[in-house]
Amino acid sequence: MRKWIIVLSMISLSSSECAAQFYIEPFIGYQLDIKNHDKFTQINTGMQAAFNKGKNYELLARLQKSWGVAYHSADSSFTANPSLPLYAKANKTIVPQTWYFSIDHRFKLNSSNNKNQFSFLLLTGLMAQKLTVNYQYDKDNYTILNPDVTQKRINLFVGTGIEYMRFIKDNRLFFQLTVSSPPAGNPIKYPSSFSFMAPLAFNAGYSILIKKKKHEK
Amino acid sequence: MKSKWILVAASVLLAGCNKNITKYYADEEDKGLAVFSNTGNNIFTCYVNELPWRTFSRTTGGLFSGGTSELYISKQIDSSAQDLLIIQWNGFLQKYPTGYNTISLYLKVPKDFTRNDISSFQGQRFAIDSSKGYFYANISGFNTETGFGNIYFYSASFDSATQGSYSGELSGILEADFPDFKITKGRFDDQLSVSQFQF
Repeated sequence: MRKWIIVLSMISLSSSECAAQFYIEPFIGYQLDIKNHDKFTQINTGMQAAFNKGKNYELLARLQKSWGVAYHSADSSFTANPSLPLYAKANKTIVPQTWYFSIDHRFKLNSSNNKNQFSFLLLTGLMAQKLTVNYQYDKDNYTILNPDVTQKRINLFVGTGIEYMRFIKDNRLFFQLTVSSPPAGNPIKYPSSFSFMAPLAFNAGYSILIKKKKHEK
Repeated sequence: MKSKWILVAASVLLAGCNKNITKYYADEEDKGLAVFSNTGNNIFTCYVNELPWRTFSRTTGGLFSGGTSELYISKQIDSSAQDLLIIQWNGFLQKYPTGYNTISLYLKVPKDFTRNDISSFQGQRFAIDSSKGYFYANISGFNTETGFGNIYFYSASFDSATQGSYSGELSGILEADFPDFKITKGRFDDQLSVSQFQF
């Protein structure tokens, strides 16, 4: 994996050196998990730098934090003590948190249009997911059957998506719909009721021009 | 020619290997114990006076050796009105991994109790007092003692899925008080085959 991180870093550095036009793009959004039947949802916040590399292509360096919305459910707990009810509900809360550092690619589909732009997105980078599991139950007297435990993983991911962009003077308003893989790796080595998330995200952001092309100055 | 001999040697080696078929999934709440499960993990863990205790790993047999099991079920038959069904787990205190300990449940059952009658325990919770039987424990560093307690069988089955092929499962939780120590937070999850039965 270290080899791939170095390769990604080199691509990022070499690209930023020769960027002629440069944007900063804060964004927010919402995403749900298509791998666990929409069980987990998150609020996205992030920032990306866009390097205009030509008429039809921009390279993006993205840092994103996805804040988990707590998912509530219940598992079964039991006791051998005959003076207590055999079964009790164990309330379970799973909070999914995700960090991204990715090098993304924006392929412009209609670069001749001055007002509107549609793009195809390719996402590649590192994703860190942590799904924190907490239970609330009578821990002294009861034992949970097949409990879930906190799972975390950091690894490479890929994704794709589409984007609509509206030009507002030098700046740009954009809306993205993307889908990403879970972090790469083997299945969870635990009989878990969930797996790592594959997020379907809807993001909206604003692209602020920082550095113009030389001939535009 | 050479590759043929390598294949033969590899086959012999593989056939001679014992495979560990116990799965240990650590419980985040109860440190040192496996989770309470019913997925056939072939393990029993508990605290003995707060010290984590677990069963040996179950292994399949190889070409040159038989398999081992963490669980054996036998029957003590005598002239009394009922027999004693003995469910015995073999293991060790995790503090003393070289020890060989046993924790057993002696449960009074009818004289005509058969292997298939294990299924009658499914979903049953028993308060084990002198009228029903007793627990027996031989644990490193403690006196060998008998005691009383409680056991709940979440699952218990032994039947024939296909003709002549019997299998089943036994999972649940238990606790027991002995004169000098306590067994708490016990949880077991064992697959059953004819190998586990000694009657």
